[in-house]
Amino acid sequence: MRLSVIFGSLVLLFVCPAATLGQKVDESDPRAMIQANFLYQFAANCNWPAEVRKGKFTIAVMGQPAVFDHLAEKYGTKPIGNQTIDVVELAELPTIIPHILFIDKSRKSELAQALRDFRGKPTLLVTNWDGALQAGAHINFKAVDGNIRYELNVAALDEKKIAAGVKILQWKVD
Amino acid sequence: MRRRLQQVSKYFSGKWIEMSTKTFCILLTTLLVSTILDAQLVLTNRAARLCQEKDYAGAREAITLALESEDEKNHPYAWYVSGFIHKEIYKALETGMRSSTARAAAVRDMEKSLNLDTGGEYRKMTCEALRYLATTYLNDALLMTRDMTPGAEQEPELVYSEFERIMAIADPRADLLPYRLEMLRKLAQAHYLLWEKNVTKRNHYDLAVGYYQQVLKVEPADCESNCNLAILYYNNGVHKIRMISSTTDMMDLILIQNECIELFRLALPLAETTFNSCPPRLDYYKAMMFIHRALGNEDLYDEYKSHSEELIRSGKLKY
Repeated sequence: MRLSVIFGSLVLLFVCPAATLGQKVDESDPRAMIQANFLYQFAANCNWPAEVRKGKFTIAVMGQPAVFDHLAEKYGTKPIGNQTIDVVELAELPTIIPHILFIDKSRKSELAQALRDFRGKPTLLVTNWDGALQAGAHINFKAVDGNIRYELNVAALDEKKIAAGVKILQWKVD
Repeated sequence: MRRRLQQVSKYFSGKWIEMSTKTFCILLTTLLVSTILDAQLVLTNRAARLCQEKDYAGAREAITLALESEDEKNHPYAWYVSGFIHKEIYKALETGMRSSTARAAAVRDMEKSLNLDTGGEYRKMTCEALRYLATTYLNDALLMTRDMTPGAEQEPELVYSEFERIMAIADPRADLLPYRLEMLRKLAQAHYLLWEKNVTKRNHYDLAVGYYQQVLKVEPADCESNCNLAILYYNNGVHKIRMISSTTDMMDLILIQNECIELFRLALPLAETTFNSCPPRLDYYKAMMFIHRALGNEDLYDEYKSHSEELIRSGKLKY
């Protein structure tokens, strides 16, 4: 008697497309995260007037939930000097006076009203569209070779008695 | 008699061919010797019968005795039967056991049979059995990549190398490249998953990149590797941005961002290759969308997003 065995061609018992193994694209918005990181840097590296160096340090975000989410998650419990950061997401312009108000380009029409509402108040207005600085924003994010950088309206900041720190001045773009 | 022998013919490949007396005598002698030898393989034949009856313990005992006997220990069929019994034991009792001793013994005995089988009498069936055993190593290697743990990263490759080694014996002309590429893809994915679990372990990221690059060197249009490498670069960029914290200096923030933009730029052509040359998939759309958004091309992000939504609505793209 003879034992014999017949097998066909090699068969992969385990063939599985990549997608099922969990290699998925991260759907977070890295540009929003970068902007949130810059907002924290602006908070930490400005010299704020004495009258707002007490209570909570409020950063308000209009029109960009991803910036709010990242700020709240990453910096929501961090201090600025002796103050605790309070990140708020706004549907409309606030009645409170935030230290920083970020207005996304999707809400650019709010800038003019914000400038009126916060005239003479120590609120840093940060935006992210072309021409916002000329329209009165203090800091405006702009794309430089794919990177997010910022331009600065130093004169407008001086009026607010907010002194941009060396690091902010050092890395601004014209 | 001689005349009659000369008239003996054999049907071969659809034609009657006449054999010379000399050829016929050789065949007859071979058959005779083979029959006598087979008749001498008492213990081996007993082991084979027990194996067919699925009495593996009895079969193993019988073949052990056979391989100890002077009459049978140098016969290729005895070693083939031993390999076969171990293979059956592996199938019955040790399938899925990656360090199966029965499988290793089966391979060892089949190889011994091949070495002894100078006439090639048992070669075909021995090689077929070896091919089967090789396939089990391949499958184990691929499965091992699914639950690869830190510290055991070499194991799938070692098991895979056993597949290649056995195939080189069983079927030296077989094209193993598709299997090698599949293994590289799976290793890349395994290292990606390890990196994702602990993104501070840079070596897993580097290994995943390296494995995908090896595939793309051979198959530049490979859909899976192009897409996954794009995702790898992109996700690493996002991860680096996520790691920015309150302790990060302004200068570092800018430098990290530059580094990430470079990663997004590396990802883009790979995602484009996939998108342009592979059947549409939501993953490919997502890669294009998010990479463009990360590079500040928001119009293109919106374009790919609305196009994918349109295809999903019309049932042309699965969500």
